[in-house]
Amino acid sequence: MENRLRVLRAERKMSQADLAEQLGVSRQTINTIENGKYDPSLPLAFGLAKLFDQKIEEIFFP
Amino acid sequence: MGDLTEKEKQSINRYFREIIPATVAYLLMIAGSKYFLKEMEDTIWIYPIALSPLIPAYFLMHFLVNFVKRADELIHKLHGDCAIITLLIVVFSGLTYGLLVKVGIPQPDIFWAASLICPLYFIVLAFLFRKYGIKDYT
Repeated sequence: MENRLRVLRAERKMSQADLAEQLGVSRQTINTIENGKYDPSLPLAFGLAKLFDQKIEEIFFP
Repeated sequence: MGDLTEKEKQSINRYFREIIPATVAYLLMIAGSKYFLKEMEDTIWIYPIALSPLIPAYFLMHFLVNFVKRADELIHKLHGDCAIITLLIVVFSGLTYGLLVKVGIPQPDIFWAASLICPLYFIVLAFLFRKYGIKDYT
């Protein structure tokens, strides 16, 4: 699944570590999501959507 | 362990402090029980000696489960995948060797076969971490 996470994070000038810390996951989790190697769980996807003030489908798409 | 948080570093350090001694103890108990079973063939002690590797094996699994519980969802997934792949390899290898035993290949020693499960788990885990591009995590 593709996503706009890297773009959204860059717009807010956040590092992967900053984002990981805010969501309570590891930096590696953020990195693998950004690279499309791992699809996040629904709670984590909702957490990302809330943090970036976007809908899930605006961040993730098939 | 470049960009890990303090909590993650503590968790990984604890993992190594627990897992490495438990793995070494398990492998030593496997070798020790094999040696003592040869020496004490006709005593009642063969039963506890034969089962003795279960003690470090229990702690090994206990520490591994605790580590996975402390980790985040990606690590949960990787350890879950690793357990399934390791199980499939063990079952398939056992089946293959079992079929070959029928045609004259020597019966494998279950002690050494059991001792290969631990390294196999960590080899599969290393492969999965590489596949996901994770370089600095346990």
